[in-house]
Amino acid sequence: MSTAIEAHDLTKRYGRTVAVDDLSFNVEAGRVTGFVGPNGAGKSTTIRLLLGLDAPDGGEIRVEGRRYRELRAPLREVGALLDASALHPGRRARSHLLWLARSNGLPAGRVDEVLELVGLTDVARKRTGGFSLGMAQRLGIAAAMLGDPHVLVFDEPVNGLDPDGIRWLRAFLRSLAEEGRAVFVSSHLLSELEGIADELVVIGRGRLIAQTTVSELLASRLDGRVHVRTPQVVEVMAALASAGATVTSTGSDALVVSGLEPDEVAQVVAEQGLRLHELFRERTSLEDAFIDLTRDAVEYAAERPVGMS
Amino acid sequence: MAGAPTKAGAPQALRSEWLKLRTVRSTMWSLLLFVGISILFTSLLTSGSSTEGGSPGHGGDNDIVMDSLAGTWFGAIAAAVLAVLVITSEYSTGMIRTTFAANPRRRTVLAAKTLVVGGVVLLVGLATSAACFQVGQWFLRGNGFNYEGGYPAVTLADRDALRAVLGTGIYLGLLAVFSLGVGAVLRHTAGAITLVLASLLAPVIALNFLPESIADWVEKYCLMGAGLAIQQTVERDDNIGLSPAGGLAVVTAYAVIALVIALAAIDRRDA
Repeated sequence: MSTAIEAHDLTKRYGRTVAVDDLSFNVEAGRVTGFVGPNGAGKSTTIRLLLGLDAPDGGEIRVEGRRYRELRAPLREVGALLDASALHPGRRARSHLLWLARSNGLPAGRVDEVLELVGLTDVARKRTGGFSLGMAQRLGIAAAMLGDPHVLVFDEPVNGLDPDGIRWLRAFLRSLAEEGRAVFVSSHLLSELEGIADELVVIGRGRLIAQTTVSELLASRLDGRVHVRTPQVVEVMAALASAGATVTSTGSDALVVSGLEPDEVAQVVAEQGLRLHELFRERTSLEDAFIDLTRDAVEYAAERPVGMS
Repeated sequence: MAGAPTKAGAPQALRSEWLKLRTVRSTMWSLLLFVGISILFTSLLTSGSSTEGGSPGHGGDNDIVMDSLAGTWFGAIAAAVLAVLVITSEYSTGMIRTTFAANPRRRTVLAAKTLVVGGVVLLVGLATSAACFQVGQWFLRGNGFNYEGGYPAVTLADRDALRAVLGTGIYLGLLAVFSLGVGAVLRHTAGAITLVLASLLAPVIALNFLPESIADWVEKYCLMGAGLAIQQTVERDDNIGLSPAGGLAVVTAYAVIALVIALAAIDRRDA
């Protein structure tokens, strides 16, 4: 496994706003790395720095050990999907891919191959002005695949795709990683990456919050709280407390237990001859873990509605 | 191109930019407007002119070569807009990022755009200028600008006429380069078109309000004055005090300065 993208102390300011703040992370080949953070966290800026579009104020970001601007045929090394709607509306889809192919001396035959790959062959001769956002996303993905690159960078590729398109994209990203390519996908919703991403780079306010695997993130956020409903609240509380658990009453018949696993709770209750109506473990979703992780880094947080705390 | 290397170099940039230019409809429309408006205005102006005119105090010294090329000034606006749009439309759609990600050598990309749009406007401009000359001479001959009226027939075999016609085509190509340079610096369609049109028209409008010493200088070194100097074939009192070669030098300077600023800026700024 080799490092495809390497950011080192990367910093970018726009006026007085620090968009990317001393950011370091790695993206490895052969896996899908999710790049997640709330809106305005600096994801797109980081991707622009990666592609040599913006110049960093500090640090650097390299692709397979080289600065992007040093690449001789960039499309052969890095395929990127930025803003899918950044197309000239009057140009036909095929012509759009053809000028891109020519800019790197790629054969025209590649254009038809990638159109086939993303399922746009039928609309190849249509002007992109009439494309839905989903079609534009597919065209952007086709453009990224033109040079058959080792490294793929997709900025919010799920935007505008219908459920079918999302399923297709997930399978497609997985297959790219299985072919040994590095796949770097940004999203402001972690749930979009659930089941696709192996690795996560989580950022907020331009700073790295965590570089972790999906399973590690879930594990670290499971606090093992167990919910119990019982008609014998007082007795059950006493029994669990003497078994070493921390127990809180949350209603006339409800308890929250930490420090014991569900099977241990059931065991203690059964030994005392007490009754339970309900027993379940609080499940932390990836999204909850993510919200927890990025709570302090949300740039524009909404006030919590009254009564919901 | 057998065995074309897969790299992002200058030949690739040229082929790519040429394809971009010819795969949007606005290019064809702009060029049709360029040719059409030029011939239309030359027709209107020359069909309505009479031998009564002339420079103050010297009736009958009309420059019928220059008069026949007058329509190109109207067509020039379409050519300038085309050249501006070649670069600003990429900024307004955001496509410039795709362009620069595909080829991070931005100066090469800008140079390729310059050659492509400058070359197309030069060729179409030469054809337009020649067409205006022919159409204009035909109308003028019918309006008394003939041998009997003291105006011997002029053809492209005449050295001065040929120079004015070729010079007009070259001027239009250089105006396109200037416009592209302004577009690349401002990166905004409306702003760039405004600045290009202001560069063409504002000094000419200001001439009447300036003291004579300054006006003479402005007339010589403004963008339109340079073009008119290229088109002059007759000694008249109201001529621009600049030779055709001088006019060419002035418009070249405008194009080069705009392009140099654009080349310097394009590598430094965030796309």
